Amino acid sequence: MKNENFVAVLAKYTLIGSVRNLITWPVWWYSSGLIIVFKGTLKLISQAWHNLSLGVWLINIFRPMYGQYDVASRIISFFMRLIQIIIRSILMLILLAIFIALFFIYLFLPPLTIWMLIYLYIK
Amino acid sequence: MELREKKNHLTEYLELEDKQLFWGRNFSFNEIMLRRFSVFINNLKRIILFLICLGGIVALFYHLVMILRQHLPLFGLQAWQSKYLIYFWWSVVAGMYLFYDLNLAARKSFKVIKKSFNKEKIKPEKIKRVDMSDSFTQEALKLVDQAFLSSCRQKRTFNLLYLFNQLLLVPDLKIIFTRLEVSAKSLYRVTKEILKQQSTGKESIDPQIYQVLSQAYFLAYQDRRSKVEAADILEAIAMQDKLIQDILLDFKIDLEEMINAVKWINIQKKLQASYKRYRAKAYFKPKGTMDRAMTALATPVLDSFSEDLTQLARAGYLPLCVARDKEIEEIFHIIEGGKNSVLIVGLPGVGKSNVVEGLANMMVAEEVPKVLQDKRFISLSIAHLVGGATRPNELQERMLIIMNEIIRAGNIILHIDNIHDLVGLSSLGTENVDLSEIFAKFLSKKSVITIATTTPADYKKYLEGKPLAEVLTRVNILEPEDNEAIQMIESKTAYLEGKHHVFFSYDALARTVKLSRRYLPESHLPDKAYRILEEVAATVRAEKGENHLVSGEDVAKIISHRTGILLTEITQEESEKLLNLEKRIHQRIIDQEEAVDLVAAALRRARTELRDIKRPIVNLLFLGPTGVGKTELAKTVAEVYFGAEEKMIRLDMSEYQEQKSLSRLIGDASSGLRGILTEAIRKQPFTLLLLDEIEKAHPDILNVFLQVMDDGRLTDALGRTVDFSSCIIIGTSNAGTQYIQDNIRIGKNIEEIKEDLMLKELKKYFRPEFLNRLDGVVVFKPLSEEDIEKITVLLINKVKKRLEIKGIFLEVTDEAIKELAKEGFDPVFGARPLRRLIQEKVDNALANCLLTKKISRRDIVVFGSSGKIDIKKAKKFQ
Repeated sequence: MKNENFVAVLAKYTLIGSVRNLITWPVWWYSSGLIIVFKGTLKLISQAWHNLSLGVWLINIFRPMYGQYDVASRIISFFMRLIQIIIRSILMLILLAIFIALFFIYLFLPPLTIWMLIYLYIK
Repeated sequence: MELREKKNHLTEYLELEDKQLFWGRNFSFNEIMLRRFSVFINNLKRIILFLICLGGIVALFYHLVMILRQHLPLFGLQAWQSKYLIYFWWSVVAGMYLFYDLNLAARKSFKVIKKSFNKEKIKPEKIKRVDMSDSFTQEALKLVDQAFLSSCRQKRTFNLLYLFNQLLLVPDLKIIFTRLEVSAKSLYRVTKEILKQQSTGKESIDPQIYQVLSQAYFLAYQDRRSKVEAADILEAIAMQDKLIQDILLDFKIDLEEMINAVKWINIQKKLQASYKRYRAKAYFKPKGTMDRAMTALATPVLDSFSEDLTQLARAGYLPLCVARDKEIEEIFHIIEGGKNSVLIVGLPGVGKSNVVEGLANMMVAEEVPKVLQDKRFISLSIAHLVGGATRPNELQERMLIIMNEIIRAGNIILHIDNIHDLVGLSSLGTENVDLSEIFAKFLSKKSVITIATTTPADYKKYLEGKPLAEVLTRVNILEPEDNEAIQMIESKTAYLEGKHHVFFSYDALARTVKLSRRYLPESHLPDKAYRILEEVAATVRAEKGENHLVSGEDVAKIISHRTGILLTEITQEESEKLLNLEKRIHQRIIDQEEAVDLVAAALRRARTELRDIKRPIVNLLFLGPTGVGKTELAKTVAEVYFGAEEKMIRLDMSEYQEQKSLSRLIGDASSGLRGILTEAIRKQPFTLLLLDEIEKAHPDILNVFLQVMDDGRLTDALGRTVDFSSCIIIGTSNAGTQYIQDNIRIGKNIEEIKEDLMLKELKKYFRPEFLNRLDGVVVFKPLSEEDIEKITVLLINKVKKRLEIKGIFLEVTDEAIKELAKEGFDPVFGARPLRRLIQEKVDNALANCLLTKKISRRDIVVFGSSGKIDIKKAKKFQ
């Protein structure tokens, strides 16, 4: 077993680490952190897309529902699908807006916080 | 796996997927303490940050309430100027830092490298170094540290025993040891004692520690798990260290058992994970008959004759499928390859339905090839289809409507269990149109994916060469190997344990599989093992109460009870019985030492499992003149070892002198007749098979016995294999009797006679390969006058016993015995005439006395010489 210097090890595990972490925090926020959040947002969007199964409705827009292939059924089916697609799209848009807003909050939160703090202290 | 020693460093490293893995955590007291300290500080930091955030939210909420009360505009600058909002903004900073901190920590905990399938070599300079300790769970890391610290405290080398000792305190692993029927506590005490005996003073690290940690990592990698767990370390240690292997062996755990018990825990964890995944994904599967695109059609007729497997799986009713990945893969390949219809062929009980259920589960999670996605898996029941179809052509009509519905709906995958039932079905009045042919045509023309099942025998009988077999692609499901079967039942134990409130030991599962494979050849694994476990669980609960461990002995008891074969461990009482077998046999058999010794030794070998388990317990040939005790010895063995004289199957081979009579022995396929021999052994496998006068049997029949004596099995005419490995086979023969008698009269030694018999006399009757398969040929000596006297006593004793039931006591004087013996002895017929004589003289006289009421209860009858009968009357009370 090696005979380590206690202080050196203490520094390695606590102090240096903490200080380094503090310094790299802003850099991380706009590099690796940004990528993580961006990917997360994309994942949320694709999940919402999957859950609303908009893709399936869009692909099958001209396919009659319930296997009814006569003309009347085709027309009814087209409009039914259209209504479905519109409702689902609206839901999708709302979700999309929320996710994008969250992403932008992440993006602009640090400058806003700093600005508000400075503003409140000066006031 | 490649383990190499790294230069200038003690650690060993592992090379996997072009990455160099090393153990990056130093073993030092200071570092461990500091690591713990920093973990503590970190946690404290996070708690404080979290509390600050919480405070910020409260401040914000308070502020919002204030704004609303003062009717200030929410987004105006004026509303956000209060001084105390500084606290809120600082809490936002804290929140952002917490987010950052948690992300850093998440990035640090690496997963075990994923096992890849392509084995391309990357250039050496591209090799990356990875610290494998990052992939260990916190629990595993903690126990490694703890083990090192205890070695530090005792100032001894940090070796595997310390690690093992520490592992015994982990709760998850305690369960493993409970499953192995060992208390982790006593193991802990033993290892602690051994550790105390090791030399002190030398503080160093055993390089094996690094090897074991690498090995543990490798095990997790091989099993495609994301983290290395304490159980992996346990398995690695058990594989690596001889001393620990010895300790475990002392506790009756061998390496294989240890590894399988660890696997059991992993299987259950995996099953839980996949169950959760299926449940989460099932939420997205459409309920009802519609697909996602709403293009499908309702199928009311089909629904009334079938069961929707996807709906059942969606609701979580279908069990998961274990260890059948290869077969499922094969089914997918066939379907993806354009051949739409699959026929799963397997013996009953091997898990055909389980594969189908597994497919349904996978379909619900949509983890299937594209053609199977967003489809319904419907199981059509032929019984329902046929039931109640009484009108002419009704069956065809139903079938056609169903086919029509399937095609129109377009989202149906069809499952037909026991598809051979379709063959030969036709409606009233249309005998010549077979339903299976209509169905085959439908399958070949329309591309409907069908997954059908049948058994090999039914396939051969009903499908082979028929149009239906041609449109279906065959996938075989074989009976699983022992280990696979154990894994399959391991996956089901949780259900049984929950149902019966008992726990299974590993030995219980292993013995269920092994014993049921050997002794219950009629049904198949894993089903039969599962049924037995269910029975055992219920029995143990009834006998011992809830929350008891089901041991291997409990399983052995149940299988013993079912088959009549002794399988449980030998008790003290039984071992005494076995050691004194000769004495017990001699209570019925006079003299014939050699024969008795041979049989007794064979029985002891059989019971202690030291014999070749693939052959019968023993194959013996008893030679000698009639009436010397050959059959009597066989009967005695049946009584002493198998429990009753009736546990003997006796075949008089003089009835099988013609080749034709073979069908009586092993059955006849054309008439469906069952064989006398095969049927008897099938019903009672643990028995004594006595082949009387074996030399009289036809040579072809003796040839059948060649296989039985060598392999311990025989296939009857109906194709069923009958197990003879728990049989004692004894053939008796009069062959060479004259030779024996002549030579004994000359005074030749029995050994010499036997040798001559084997070399010359017996060859006239038996082929050399038959004689070679015998474990012993016993020559029974002709009886001497002294022997006959002893036999007379035995026979008289039997009469005594019969009379005692009536409350009458019999005494026979010595002179009378001598007289009877002399009169009853016949040099040609041995002791046989004696029995008749006793019947005539003793039994008849007694019968007369009884009928004339000369003797009554508690009287003593004295049988004297020349057949004189004296009666000592007992004192009467009424």
